[in-house]
Amino acid sequence: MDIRIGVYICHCGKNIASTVNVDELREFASRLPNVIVARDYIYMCSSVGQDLIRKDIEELGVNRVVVAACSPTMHLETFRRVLEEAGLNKYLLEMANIREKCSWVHTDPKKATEKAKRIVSMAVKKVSSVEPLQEIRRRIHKKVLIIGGGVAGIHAAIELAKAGYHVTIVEKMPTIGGKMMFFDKTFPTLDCAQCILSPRISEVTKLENVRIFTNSEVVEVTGGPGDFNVRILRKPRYVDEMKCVACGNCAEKCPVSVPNEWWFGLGERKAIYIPFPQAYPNSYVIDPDACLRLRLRRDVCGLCMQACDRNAINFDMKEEFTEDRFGAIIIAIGGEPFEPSKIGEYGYGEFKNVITGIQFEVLTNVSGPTKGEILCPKTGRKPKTLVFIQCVGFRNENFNRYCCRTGCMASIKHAILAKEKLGDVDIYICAPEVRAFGKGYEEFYKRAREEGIKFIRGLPSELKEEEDGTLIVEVYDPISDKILNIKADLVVLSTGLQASENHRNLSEILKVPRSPDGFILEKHPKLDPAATPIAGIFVAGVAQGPKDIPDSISHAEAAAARVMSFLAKDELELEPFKAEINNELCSKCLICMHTCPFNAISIAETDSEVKLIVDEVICTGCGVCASSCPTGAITIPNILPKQIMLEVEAALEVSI
Amino acid sequence: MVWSSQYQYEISARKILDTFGVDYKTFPEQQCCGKPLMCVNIDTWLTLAARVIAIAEREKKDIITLCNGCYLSLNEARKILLETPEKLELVNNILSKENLKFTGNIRIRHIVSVIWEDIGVDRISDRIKIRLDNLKLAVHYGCHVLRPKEFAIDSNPERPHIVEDIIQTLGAESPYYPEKFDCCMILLSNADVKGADIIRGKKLLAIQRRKFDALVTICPLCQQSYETRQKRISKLIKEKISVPVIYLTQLIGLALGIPPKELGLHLNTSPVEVILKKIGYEHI
Amino acid sequence: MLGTELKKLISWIQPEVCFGCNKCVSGCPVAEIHNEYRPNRIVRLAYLGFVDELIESGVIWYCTQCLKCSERCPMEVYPASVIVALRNIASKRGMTHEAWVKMAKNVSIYGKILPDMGVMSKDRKLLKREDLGLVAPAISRDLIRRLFKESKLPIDIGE
Repeated sequence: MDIRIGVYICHCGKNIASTVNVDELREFASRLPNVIVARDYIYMCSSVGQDLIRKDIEELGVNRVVVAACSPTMHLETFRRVLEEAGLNKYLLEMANIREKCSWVHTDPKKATEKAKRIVSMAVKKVSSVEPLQEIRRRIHKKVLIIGGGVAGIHAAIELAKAGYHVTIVEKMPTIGGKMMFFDKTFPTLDCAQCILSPRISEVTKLENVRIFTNSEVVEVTGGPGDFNVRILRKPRYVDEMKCVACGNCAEKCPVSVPNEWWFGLGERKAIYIPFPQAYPNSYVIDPDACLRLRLRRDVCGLCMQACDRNAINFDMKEEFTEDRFGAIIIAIGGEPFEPSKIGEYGYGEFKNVITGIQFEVLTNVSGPTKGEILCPKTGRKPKTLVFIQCVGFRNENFNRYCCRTGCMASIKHAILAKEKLGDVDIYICAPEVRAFGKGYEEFYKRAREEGIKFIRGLPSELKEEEDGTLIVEVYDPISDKILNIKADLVVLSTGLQASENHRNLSEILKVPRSPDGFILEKHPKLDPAATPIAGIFVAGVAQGPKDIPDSISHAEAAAARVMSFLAKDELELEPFKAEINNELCSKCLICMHTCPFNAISIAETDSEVKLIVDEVICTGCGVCASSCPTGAITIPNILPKQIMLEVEAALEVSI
Repeated sequence: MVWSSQYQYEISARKILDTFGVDYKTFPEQQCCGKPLMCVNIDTWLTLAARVIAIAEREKKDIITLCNGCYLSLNEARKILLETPEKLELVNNILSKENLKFTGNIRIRHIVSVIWEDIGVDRISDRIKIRLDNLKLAVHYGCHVLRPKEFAIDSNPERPHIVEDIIQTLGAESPYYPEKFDCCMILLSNADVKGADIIRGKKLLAIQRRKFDALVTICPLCQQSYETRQKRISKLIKEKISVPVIYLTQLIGLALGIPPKELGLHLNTSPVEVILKKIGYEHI
Repeated sequence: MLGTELKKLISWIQPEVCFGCNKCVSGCPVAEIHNEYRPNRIVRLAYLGFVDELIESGVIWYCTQCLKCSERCPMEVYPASVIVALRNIASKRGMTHEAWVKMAKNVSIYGKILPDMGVMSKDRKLLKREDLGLVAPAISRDLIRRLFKESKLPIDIGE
């Protein structure tokens, strides 16, 4: 068949055209072998640009297309659709990246144009040799796994369940609800956090097609998009949640007290405990690292069992593993608060009246250690002067470079609540600037100033402590040009959320990359924030980066929408670039099996022969196996060695 | 060892090192570490510092500094010279005329580190003759042994403990006080001695009011700042300041039972008699 | 770029990244007593090119190099080092503060910043190093002069 190539060169506004001479490039392209037409246009990805291609296919009989423009990660799909709509196999397209790989990284126009010519020449050579391919279709499991049961995970679950998908939430803690459960009020509306979240928890737990595993963790994931095989560890509660009525008699008798992680160090709990009154499941749980009987593995204590008149406690419960298949996964694991004891100069951990924003939140919570009263940890008395210090551990080369995003609004909220609860108090917020970007946020900031909360545009360098525990805060106020000397009863270090061990572990299990700050990497920060670079795996909420509640919920609903479109068809369409093993050439050395990073290759034995087979769902077409195979038995369609050599030759041709 | 113009510091330091058998030497040809020249011409500072280090290298000995300023000056110079080839070449060209060469292969340590690491609180504890019970001491580390963090003598420079631990071994206590990390302002006194004295006065007054028995220092410049100007400071801030200021090495020596004169206490210019009485010495 | 002259002297300073958190001013002991002394103001003026003004005003000689600003700055600007660089520039222009000139002169004569004049003991005796069994320094004047000259110290230390 006659090869008839159309080359389409994009100016990309000025992005390409200001460095690469598109006219010269077009002339050059038109003279390449098998090229019957070469055009250029200011924005090839626009409708007008796309029409140029389609018309040439329909009217001039173009049957191979090269688009010289931006990186294929941007618009490869866009241009493939154009071919499809015009009736041409969509894999008869090559993109020549003359933007990211040329005009954006070079400044010399003459050299950049020469390089662009080589790139286009390579693409033309390649496209001459490609074959039409068909997508691989596999059955999709219309089941979704959501890792993390906080506000993001819950909202994603509700949307997906209502759309008819079967959802499983796996939550590490003994209860769902996440960090939001111990907030008192939320900014800027001062809605009660429980009042917003509890109805949603109630809803998600009642939906028929939602299954919730608490006290559980994902330990292994194999398979690929549309067909993930997940192994879940269900840790024993040692309390039967069907029998427990949360009466609390057991905890009264329990002799072991440990720091209460839900109160972030402000109080203790027993070894048998319920995280908070509205926990779901509404059942007590035993901490195996605290409980004497479980730690020592002997028949000691057992006072809780004696106290329970429902026979709900069972020390013989064991770990269980569950396996299931899911079509898509949403990562909604949230984040962990920053530990300011690393910042020695603020004395956290040593000066008792220096607490974190999260601890302040716990103090204001009616279910907290002080039943909602704001009290100084050292004296137990109400503070008269409070100082909030912003940006602790963030915007800092020594800790986290990013802005915590929620600190300013959290402190404003805390200050306003403090005024409400304590009446006549002196409150300072030390912030280099206030970030009040959301709807209603700036007005909330104004309200704080109207209520007499003083904002100082400076941070203290260090804190000093008097014998009675009051803190001396020396801070420069640039507007008055004075170094203030404030005697504070309570200092709150406003910190934010960081990525945690969970991020690292899950990243390894799912093979999902993380960004430099440790959070899960999104597929594209602007165009695709709720997806990850791995097909079928999405991300919702703080797991991708710090954000407040409205943004977490929006993000979660975006992730749910992405999952819905991903699983909408009955079959998953996979790209045809999968490793193919020619069994006649295969020497069964198994090198490919061991080098595959995704464990996609396995041995299939029958009575007559041994074959190596590739799981097309898992295979990502990375090519590591193909390049490791000593006999050349493995190939990937349209990326054959001889096709690569054509590109290499085109690149090295001296006379351009 | 790099010597000091504060003779009593040098005397007491030598006594401690001798008592515990630490081997050291002093070289008559070793000159100023160069820190005062850093603000005039960085290359001159680097040259002088390199010469001090090169002499120690020639003798294959680490350096012990008594002064915080020397400690940081030599450590910083060493780092810069090792990281900047042009400066290294410049400095070695100048030193070569004396057949000296800087390679940076020795350590520069502060006497407190030597006491903490090489001698250790256990050995000190074994030899205590006079327990300093009932003494409440204000510790002043100074600035340049705590900042920058990479050269700090304590692994937690914002909350250091090694001097306090040594003092606790001697039987005394050294509680935290808010003015603890205030600077002695020695460099400010070049341009504005009055301002420097105001800040020093604030710290001395606080120490006095909080009923500390003495201020303990580990640097001759800090000691000088607080010890020699108490009369002037009293006039300036209109409060009588009378605080005994004593070197850590002198304190250790007293606990070991070494007579005050052998520790140079007759050379201190602050009212150290007051604290000596509390230990049992009627006179120096 | 502004600040390049300073960076040639001390390579790790970054006056351009300061975002005005004022932490350095909050902890500065000199700022406590001198209303016109603000470390970040000095860094900003130097960065914007007002080096002459800074040197004329003499404000750069007040810093006591306690290093709290440099140590706690979230952006690693190193204000204390910016000030050392400015002092070097001032010295190149012959405007070294007299106290530092004196110290340089003393180093060239005695090898240290103070001459060894002995100390007065509490019992009114003037004691020298030798009296206390301490080694006496033996530093050649010519040696120090040579070191100063070859490292290009911009001070005339006279005879």
